[in-house]
Amino acid sequence: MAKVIVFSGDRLTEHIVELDRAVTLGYILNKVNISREEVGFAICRSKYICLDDLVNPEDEVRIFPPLGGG
Amino acid sequence: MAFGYNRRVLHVDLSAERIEVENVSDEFYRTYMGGSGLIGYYLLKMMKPGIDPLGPDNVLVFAPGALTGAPLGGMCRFAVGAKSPLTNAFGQSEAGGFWGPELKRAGFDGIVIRGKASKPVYLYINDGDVSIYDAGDLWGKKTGEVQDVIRDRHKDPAIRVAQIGPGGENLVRYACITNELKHFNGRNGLGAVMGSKNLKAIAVRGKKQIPIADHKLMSEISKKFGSTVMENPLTKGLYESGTAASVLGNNAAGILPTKNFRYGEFDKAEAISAKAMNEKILVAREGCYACPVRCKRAVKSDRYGVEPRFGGPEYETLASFGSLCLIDDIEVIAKANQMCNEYTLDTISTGMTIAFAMECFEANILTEDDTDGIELSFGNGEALLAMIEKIAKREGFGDVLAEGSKRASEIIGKGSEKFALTVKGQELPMHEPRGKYSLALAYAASERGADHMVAAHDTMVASKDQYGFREIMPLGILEPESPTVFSNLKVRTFAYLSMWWSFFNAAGICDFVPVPRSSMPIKDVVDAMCAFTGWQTSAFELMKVGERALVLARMFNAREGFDVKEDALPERLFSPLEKGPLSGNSLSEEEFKEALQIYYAMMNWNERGIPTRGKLSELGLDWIAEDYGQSYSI
Ligand code: SF4
Repeated sequence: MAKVIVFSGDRLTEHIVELDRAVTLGYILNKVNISREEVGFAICRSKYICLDDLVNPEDEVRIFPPLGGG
Repeated sequence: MAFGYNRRVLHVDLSAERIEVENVSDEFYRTYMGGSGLIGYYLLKMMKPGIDPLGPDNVLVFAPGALTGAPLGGMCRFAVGAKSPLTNAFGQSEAGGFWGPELKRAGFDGIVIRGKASKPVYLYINDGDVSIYDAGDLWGKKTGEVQDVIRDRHKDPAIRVAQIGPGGENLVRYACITNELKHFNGRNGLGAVMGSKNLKAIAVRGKKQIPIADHKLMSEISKKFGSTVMENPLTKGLYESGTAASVLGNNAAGILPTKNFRYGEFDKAEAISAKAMNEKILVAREGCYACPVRCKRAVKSDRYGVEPRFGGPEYETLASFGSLCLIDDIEVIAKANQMCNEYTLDTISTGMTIAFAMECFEANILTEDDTDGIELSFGNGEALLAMIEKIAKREGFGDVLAEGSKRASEIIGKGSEKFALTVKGQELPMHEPRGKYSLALAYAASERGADHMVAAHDTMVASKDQYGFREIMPLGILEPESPTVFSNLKVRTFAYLSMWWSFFNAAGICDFVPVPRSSMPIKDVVDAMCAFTGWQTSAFELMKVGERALVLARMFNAREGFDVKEDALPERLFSPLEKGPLSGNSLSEEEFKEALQIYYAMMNWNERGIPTRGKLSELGLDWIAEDYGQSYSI
């Protein structure tokens, strides 16, 4: 069971994704119905990860839109 | 006939009370393009190295850019430049609003100010006529009243006033300049330079239309941009939440500067977020000249007498008075923001300098005996407000903090130096380089000291699929890179984006309008330049303008003795973040230094960070080597 926290429009939404094995971040995005265009970056285990990186069943992943400065 | 600009630069010698107009050629204007380019040119030409930035020999330049005043979103900016009293380096800061377009409509592409008035004065520029007025009755007054008096005196409520409040008059080293009470040339202490010249304000009124070379093309670009504003998630987000949207995003990502950059996460971030602002104090969404994005806020709080005409706190302010000082009361932050706007203090440096003092207080380096009886502990909102007042008036301990955190730490001593987080003496803005490595380069290499508006941040170019990435491919940026990597690809992306963003500062474009931060494509920016000025230009020429402006600033600094040793970061960034999703992350000093050398090499600067003779020639800047070649080595 991976916890997926999606940040968008000044809100955090939490999803739980049932997993029995490690899957890619791209797979998780499909599961929670987020288009790749909307994703700027993602963080898992204190590290930035990309679409091909693996997410384990116990991980927490945070997904963000492109965030800029200013 | 020149389209888009006037070919006229105003020169004012305040000591001699002399006003002159310089007619500049098309080639000159196209080479420097206004804004930061014009500032670099005049500072190098007219100022000797080693002068006192708060003395009469400093040169103060106000410069809109080539696109300022175009009837298109984001084309509103002007830059102010001088030798900075905060950094002793090249000083430059941009503001939006309406003042820049108004100056061009009044017939000028820039104002170059020298000397010092014998008594307080203000300039009034009215459709090409320029006069110096006595400002004795305005000196000491806060910004709201000054704007009212000037508009009443000249019987014109549409006059645009750029001015300083008491913070600038009292030479606070990070005093800013405000226009319309809510837009700011925030950084580098340029308000103190105005104060040192006894110049209270520059009031401008211009009624002429700026001629446009190709109306049809301009209107097509403008319509297209307008139609994307509510469709593109980046611009839509700016409209709905303003820059404040970054509070919760950065917090969730562990890159919200908290407790003087010790943590990357603030457990009360919700209380200082866009949501809290919208629910508690927001009264209007506002914008700048001709811009449909309307990312500015106007707020109101009866508890503290906060008035909408002073705007509302931006992300930088919410973080610098909020998470950085562990303050979770949005009304206190709105009040602190208004006080800074009335006194004209840069909210970033003010928040950072107070957070520095709070950390000293926590470490018992400072006690209430030092701070005029104020309990300057993290989280104490009333202490924050009291200290802002003291800084602006240079009263008691405020006089020490008015010097900025670096100089204050040198006065205080006792190991406080490690709590002062500055580059070249300027306080870090509210972005965490331990989570965005190109920011480490931006902060260190910026000629102006720590600055977050040098280039798009790593998180904007971290994924190939994300909004905005495809649109920057025309710059030759074809691959994304993880935010927490120093690689040659990362440095190259940073170098290209910093030239592109530097071009914005020369041309007068708001960074929140073109890609990748927003939705205006590169092609439309180039076409807008063609449509406004009639030049057949290209992204290549515009990038070179950006690079030229960077090199002018770097040569100014080289003349002042700056080199690689000043392109350095505070120690704290090489230690781990203590809290948040990225806790444990730190920068590697070795990797950072290597990336900096790669950046220099890519820019054709030598190992000390000084542009080579070849680079100067390539940019048409041989005159710098000829004028100053003997006084430093290049
Ligand atoms: S995007 Fe925002 S800051 Fe930029 S010009 Fe438009 S309203 Fe002003």
